[in-house]
Parts: sequence; C-alpha cells; structure tokens
Amino acid sequence: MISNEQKLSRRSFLDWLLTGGLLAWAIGFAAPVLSYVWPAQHRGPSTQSVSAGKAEEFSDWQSKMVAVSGHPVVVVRTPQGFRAFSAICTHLGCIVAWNASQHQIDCPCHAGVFDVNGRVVSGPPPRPLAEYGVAVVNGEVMVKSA
Amino acid sequence: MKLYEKIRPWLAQRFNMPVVEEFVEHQAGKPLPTHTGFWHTFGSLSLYLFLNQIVTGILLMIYYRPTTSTAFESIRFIMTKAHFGWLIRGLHAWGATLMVLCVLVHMMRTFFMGAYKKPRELTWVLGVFIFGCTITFGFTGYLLPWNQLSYWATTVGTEITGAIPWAGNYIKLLLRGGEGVTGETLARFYVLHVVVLPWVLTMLVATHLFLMRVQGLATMERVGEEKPLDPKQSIPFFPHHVLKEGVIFCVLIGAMVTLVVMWPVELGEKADPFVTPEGIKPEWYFLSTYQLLKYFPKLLGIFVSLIPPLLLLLWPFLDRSPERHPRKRPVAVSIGVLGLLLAIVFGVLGHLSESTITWRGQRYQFDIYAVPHRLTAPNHAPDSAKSREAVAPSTEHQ
Repeated sequence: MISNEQKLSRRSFLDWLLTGGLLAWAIGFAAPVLSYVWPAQHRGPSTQSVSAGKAEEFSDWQSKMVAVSGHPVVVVRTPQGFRAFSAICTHLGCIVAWNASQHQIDCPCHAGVFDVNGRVVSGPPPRPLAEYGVAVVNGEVMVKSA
Repeated sequence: MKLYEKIRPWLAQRFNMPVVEEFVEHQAGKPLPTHTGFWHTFGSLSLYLFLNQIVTGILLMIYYRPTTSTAFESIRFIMTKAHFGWLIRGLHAWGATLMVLCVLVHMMRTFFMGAYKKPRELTWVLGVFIFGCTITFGFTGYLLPWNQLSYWATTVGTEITGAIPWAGNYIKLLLRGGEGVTGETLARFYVLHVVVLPWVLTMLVATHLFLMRVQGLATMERVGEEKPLDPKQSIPFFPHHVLKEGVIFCVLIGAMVTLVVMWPVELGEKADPFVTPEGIKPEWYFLSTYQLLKYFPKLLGIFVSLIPPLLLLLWPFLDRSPERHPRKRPVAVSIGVLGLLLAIVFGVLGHLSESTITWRGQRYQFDIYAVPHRLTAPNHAPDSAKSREAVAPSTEHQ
C-alpha cells in the first residue's frame, strides 16, 4: 500500500490502471464462460401425476418401479395402503430395490437398508428416503411428483 | 543421411543451420549420470503411452458418438464391425491402465532416488499434477462407453464430491451438468476427456520435460554437493539411453498387444439409470481411495483421502534432508514404503469387498469393509439381502 508521504506517481497510477483494466477484462471474459458452463435448470412447481398401474395388479407387499419427472420411484402396496419413495439412495445415489421377503428396501451398493416407512434401518445412508404422495383414483395408483 | 545432405543447402539458405545443428547435437549427446538405468525409462514410457492414447483416441473418435442413445451402440460398433476396432479400443483401454502404472513407477523411482530434491522441486510438483491429470483422464474416459459399470461408478464418484463442505454441491452440479448423471454429464466428460485434458496434460508434460532437460538428471550426490558431470564418466543420452528406451518400448508394445488379445476389454450392459447392479467397483487405481472412504463418515473420509495427494504435492518442501541415497534417508524411505503398502492393502481390501471366494473348500463372503464371513452351507450363496443384514454395521442414523 502507498503511505501518506508517498505520492502516487503518474507511472504507478498507470500501472494500477492497466492491471485493474486487464483484470476487469479477464473477469469480463470469464463470467459468461462460467455461467455458460453452469447447468441450465428448469425449476418451478411440477404437479404431474404418474400412473403406477391398476391397484388390483398389486398384491400386498408387492412393488413396482416408476419414473416420476425422470426420477425412479419405488411404489409398494402394504396392508395399510400404498407408499412411494424415491429410489435414489441418500448415501451415494445408487438405486434401491424393494426386498419383498424382508419387507424392507435394500441398496445394492453399500448395504444400506430402509424400512417400509423409508427410514434408515442400517448401513451408511445419512437420511431417510424421500416420500412421494400416492392416491388411488378410479382404481389407478397415481404417484404425485414431490 | 544422404537425404539430409541433399536438403541441407536448401535449409541453410533459410535458417542458421550451424546453430540448429549444434543445439540438436548438444541435446542428443547430453551426458547422463552413471546410475541412469532401466528404472529411468518409465518417464519416457509414460510419454509413449500418452502418444498411444492420443493416436488411438483420435481413431476412436471417428466412430464414437457421445449421446446416451448412441454412445454404447457406437462402442459396440467399434468392437464388432469396424476393422480392427477391437484392437484400437483395446490399446486405448489397456494403454490407460499401463499409463497410470508407468507414471506411478516413475514417481516411485524419483521418490526413492531422492531426485525431487533441490533444485528439482518444481519438476516433482508438475509431476504430481501430471499424475492427477492422468487419473482424471481415467475417470472421465471410464464413463464414455455408457455401460452399467461406468454409469454407476460415475454416479457414486461424483456423489462423493457433493459431501465437500460449502462448495461440494456446486462442484457436483458442475461436473454432472444437472442433478443426476445424464447425457449432460456424458457431454461434459467427453469434452474434458478429448479436448481440455489433452491440452492441459500436453502443457504440463512439455514444461516437465523442459525443466528436466535444463536442469539435467539428478545424481545420487548430496544436495549442494553435486559435481559437474565428467563427459568421460557419464552415459550419453544418444545412443546409449535412447537404445535402452527402445528395448523397453518394444517390450511394452508386445505386452500391450498380448493384454489386448488375452484379456479383451469388455463392454458389458448398457447403462440403466433405474437399476444399480451388485458390486460396482471403480478402476483399480481408485480402489484404495474407494475402500478408505468406507471406513470414515462422508466428510471425514474426504479429508482423510486428501492427505496422500497433499503429502505428495508438498513432499519436496517437507523433506529437507540433503541426502539422496535411499540408505541414508531411513525416515523418508520408511514413509514411502508405508504409504505404498497402505495403498496396496486398501486396494486389495477394496477389490475383495462385497465378493465371495472359495478357500480350502470353504466359502467366504467379504462385507463392504472387506471383513470375511464364513458361509455356513458350502455351494449355497444365501439371499444377498440376508447376509448383508447380518454383516451390516449397527450404526443407525435415526
């Protein structure tokens, strides 16, 4: 920094100006490039519902995988009704699968196990699976996007 | 040389040929220290392999199409329809593995011979960046065939970056080009793999080679006590060392073609974003980090796995001893050997984890932590979910 006694010479003023100008020029170029590389995302509410098939096609503890807005969702019929969970494991993003014999949801990657409410039973997942709304409309199992 | 004598007058009218010739002769005849041997050829081998990756990579690009609906099919076309496509892809895939191996051996040679010490610290630092660039090549190239293994290895690999505090989620989004691994990710990895990384690596290698030529190869003398090389007691770069490199280069070509023919690179199944296959593993050079990450919670695991690369990068500035000979550097050599052993042990554990082997008629299943569990009934694999439940850690997160 320049002390009070020192005067800013014409030469060093020009040096500062030039350095600042070059920096601004570089930022001016980098900014549009960086924002171009940043993924363009379509956000906003999505109220789409997706059919998982007829309710009568499901027996108790049977499941089906459906795509809701491009995301895999596992739909399970329990004696208490239908449940739907995001099939993306909260640990490292592998796709979980319904284990009909154990009535639980298993992750094939790092042995994560979730119960029928999507809660973590064992293994490394840090959070429960996200739940989707399910409604049976005219005998059709409809999964609402979250 | 007759051809050169014919064109030399033409060149001499346009260029200052004596200066050019003196430069070439000086470079070719550059004296090397007497201990320069076969271990010193791994740097050049890495360079040959980089050239192999460029040539085979350009050839693969002719038929490869980087979209989710065509990537897998185009590789299948290369493997089955294009003439010698199996050879070109095989050389590219095996070349990648061998390149990582050669760079690693070259780094080990430099480490154990103390060649990274003053005044060559920057050459070492550039070398560590070259290594990082090489494995990033591996990571980005692995996704391109768009098969199940590559898709899920990339999903898990990029998900890990999401755990980095503050910037993690942004890095993950930037890498993937969206929330999940999609065609956007494929396009990004393709651009990185075929345009960005080749130029970055070329620049790094050029600077690395320039520094090596300017400063010369390290001798085994103590730092600051190096005597100028006596031309009578040194090895000329050409023809002695170049011939040595030629020999090892021929061995390499033979080994590569043998590997491609005997152990062909598989294509597997096309990526299915809705089904994760059992036992997905990264490439061998990521196995030790992959296994290490399992023993720690996500965030701590990232910090722990950052220690080895940081240590490598800063090593020339941490190790201040002037000695180069390995026998006179017991601490540094012990740390190096220990690091190497840890990498091998974790790599083997990573390889064994989530697999079943038969040993002396008894079947053992390794859980995710690579702890073996004896299976009670031989020749009968239990329901995988059941066995996993039995070995899963009792850490509940609710």
